[in-house]
Amino acid sequence: MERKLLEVRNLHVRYNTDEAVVYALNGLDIDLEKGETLGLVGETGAGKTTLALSIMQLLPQKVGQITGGSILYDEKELLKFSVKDMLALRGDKISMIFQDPMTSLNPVMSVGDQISEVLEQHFPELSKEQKSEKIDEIMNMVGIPSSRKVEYPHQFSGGMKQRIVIAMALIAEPDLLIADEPTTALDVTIQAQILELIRQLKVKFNSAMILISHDLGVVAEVCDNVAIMYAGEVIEYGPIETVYLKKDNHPYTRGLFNSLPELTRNVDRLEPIMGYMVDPTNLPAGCSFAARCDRCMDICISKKPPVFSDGAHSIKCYLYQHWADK
Amino acid sequence: MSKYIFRRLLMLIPVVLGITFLIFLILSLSPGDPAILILGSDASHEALVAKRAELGLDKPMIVQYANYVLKVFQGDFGKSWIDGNNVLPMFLERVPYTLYLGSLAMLFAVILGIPLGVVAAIKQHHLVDYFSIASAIILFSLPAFWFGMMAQILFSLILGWLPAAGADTPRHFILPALTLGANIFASQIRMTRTSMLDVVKQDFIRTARAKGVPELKVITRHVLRNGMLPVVTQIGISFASCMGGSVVTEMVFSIPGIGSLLINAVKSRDIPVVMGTLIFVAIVVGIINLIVDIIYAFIDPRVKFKG
Repeated sequence: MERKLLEVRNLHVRYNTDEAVVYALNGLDIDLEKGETLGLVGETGAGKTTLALSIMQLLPQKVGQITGGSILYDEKELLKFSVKDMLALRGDKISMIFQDPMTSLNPVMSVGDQISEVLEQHFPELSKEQKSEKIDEIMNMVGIPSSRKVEYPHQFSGGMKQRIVIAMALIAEPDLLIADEPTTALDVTIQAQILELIRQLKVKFNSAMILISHDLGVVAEVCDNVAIMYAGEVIEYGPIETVYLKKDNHPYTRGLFNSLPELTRNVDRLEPIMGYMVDPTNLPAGCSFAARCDRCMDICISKKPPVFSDGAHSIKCYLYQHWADK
Repeated sequence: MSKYIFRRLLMLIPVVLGITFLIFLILSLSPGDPAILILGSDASHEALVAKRAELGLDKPMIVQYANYVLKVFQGDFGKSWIDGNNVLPMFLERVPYTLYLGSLAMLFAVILGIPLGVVAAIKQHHLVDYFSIASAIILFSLPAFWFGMMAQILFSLILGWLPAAGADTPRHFILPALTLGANIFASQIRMTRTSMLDVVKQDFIRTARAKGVPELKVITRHVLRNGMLPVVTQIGISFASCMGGSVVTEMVFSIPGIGSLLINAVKSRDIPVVMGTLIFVAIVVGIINLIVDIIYAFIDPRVKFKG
């Protein structure tokens, strides 16, 4: 079996706020192989960004707390890494693209200097000329003339800022790239360009990628596998082709598909998923989706469903209990 | 940039004209007759009329003001109505004391206040933080005259380390500078701390951390520079208020600066001296604002001079 790049097992994360304890991740599992692209889909509050920040160990200090589970990166336990080891890893082996390019660049530092910081940190042996050469190269790769590296973030448009963020994330040729809704803040035409750019560069550097999105279409285009998240858990996981077949799906996933307009289907009204996301400060004993589920059974309310798998496809739902017998 | 500076300096002229007009207006409208104040209440009617004519007080207020401004533009700030001395030399003699005192106070407040504010922000909710906030609140609430007198009692009377009053040596300025700087020091701590805490929450700080930048560099390179903008503004405002507001400190420590000159002149309705002092303060405040704006442009590339 090939060595996994990332193995997250039974991860529990909570936020201790003044008002309440928010259970953000509740026994989350994901696997990622080298070079693989995994799509992470879920609505706001499902815990997508929390997972990303947990891997990076950038959860807000004191508030965010990992209470259980493990994150194995290259078969090493990240949760036991020292601060120094984590610093060496961040930006070099694992890097991240953030959601809002408007605010993720330092306004008083030239973009070239900001890209250069990664090199300073992780490749101190490079000479000034070599660094400058590498910056020129990556800027050209993301489609920004390298002559503009002396300019400041406010002199760039949103799409271009995101290109700079991408350049910063990829200059060290990371093994794992976490893209947290990289196109959400951009308009549609720019979205397609940025996605294409991320995909090309990821292949070029042979990086694995976790693409966080709430856009099923974007995930279908870019990813190999998809994990659907709900209330801090992965409730469905499988290869894109299987999940998007829409034959066997978690009721929540089906709800997501039904709420999308399609070119081949003629419907007057889109079907929403009724109700709201479960309150993360007060999780139910059984399936967290039970209250919104139109096929809810008695067992769903009393007991948390385990994972049922059919080959690579796995679903946390009692409707697929028969898969366990296979 | 020199074009920008020149324009800003030119803009000082209407500002000073406006300020002097307002002051002139207020002084003319306020009750009391300068002639009586100078000659005493038992002076004869003829003497008073003659005095008023001499001072130009018999003419309409607008004419008085125009005459004053015309003279100022020729470099003539007039003579003191009280002792007949020329305002300008009297003034130039006193300016250095006030500038020296103000600069020392600022230096003390900035050099101690900013680092303490930074440390308080980094160590939020730690002992250092509580200590610096507590000292900021206490120092901010103490009136300068009380603080000054207590400092005199402790350091001059009891300990005998520093002179209590006067302005002969640099040692004489230590207590006054501490007194004047205490408030500013307190506001520097608070402003720096708040501003740093605000910047730390920004997305680009998370980006910097995600790049693997160590915490110390995150603070110095990313947080500090962004957090300095409001702090610089605060420094400018404080320095400006030092120029006009060191009155109390100068009185407590008997420093012959602008502040004590201004107070005495206002009390005796010595209009030429009041006007001269305020023109000076207005110009200094204008120049400080200009310097703050220039520093701003160096810190933040989004600020550009419109030349």
